Amino acid sequence: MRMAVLVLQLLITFVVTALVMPALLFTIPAARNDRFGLALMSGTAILVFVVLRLVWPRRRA
Amino acid sequence: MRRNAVVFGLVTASLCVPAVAGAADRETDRGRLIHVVKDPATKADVRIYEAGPNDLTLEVAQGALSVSKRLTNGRAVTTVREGRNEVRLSFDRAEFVINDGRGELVIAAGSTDGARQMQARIGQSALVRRGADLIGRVKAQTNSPLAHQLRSTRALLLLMVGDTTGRDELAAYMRQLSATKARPVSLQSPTDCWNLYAVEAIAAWMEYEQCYAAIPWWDVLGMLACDVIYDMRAIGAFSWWVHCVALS
Repeated sequence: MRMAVLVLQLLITFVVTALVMPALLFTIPAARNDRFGLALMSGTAILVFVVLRLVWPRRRA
Repeated sequence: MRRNAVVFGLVTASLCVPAVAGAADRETDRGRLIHVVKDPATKADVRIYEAGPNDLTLEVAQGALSVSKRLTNGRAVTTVREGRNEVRLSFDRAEFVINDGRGELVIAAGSTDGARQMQARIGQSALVRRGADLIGRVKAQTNSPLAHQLRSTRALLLLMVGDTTGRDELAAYMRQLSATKARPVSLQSPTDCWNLYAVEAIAAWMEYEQCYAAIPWWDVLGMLACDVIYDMRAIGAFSWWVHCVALS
């Protein structure tokens, strides 16, 4: 079950990052450079994943 | 339950980010600003506006001096402006019109003494020459639409003041392009993957904005269609990039 949740969270992270990146690339021209762009994408993905992990509902012990 | 709502809110908010960012686009009388870049060589602002499907304006501005070229429905209007001074050259298949603040000079396409009239009118214009010099110093990527427009505009402006340098530069540029052999393109590095992904992602975003702009506010199904198309295109491009850099 925990593994399934993790996979689902990774999938949501993937989708959210994919949807946000075009807007970032358009509004931040510097992101078209692969160095900054990759850093921005990684940061976005990590941020989304961390927020998902924090707010994801957990079973109470 | 409350946490479920938070997760749902997070995902929904991320889906709405495009719409919020899109609202920040500038609207002007020349249309929507779709591209802006500062030229590293001249520090001039190079902007492209879109007012409709067949209405594009390219503008190069440095301080008070600006050169703009508007292409709309078979007509090209080139304007050089500095402060209050302005020279406007517009032409289509039928006529060539010069306006330098002293009234319009209209020359029919078949006119035999048209060149002499043009020379007499703006042959000594320092403003036109400064405009040509400005766009001549802008560095644009070879074989790009921007480079074609800059070179052809420079050639036109210089010809107006009796200088054939721009025409010769344009001819040399075209010869250089035609001499370039077509070769198969292959992806050599992750940088190539990123560059192609960025082009596709930006195109997806621009299509999304245009899709939204083209439908009325009450057309919920239309908006949904725009969203679905954007989602598919953005996720598809991202998946392609992941595959390209062999993360999968």
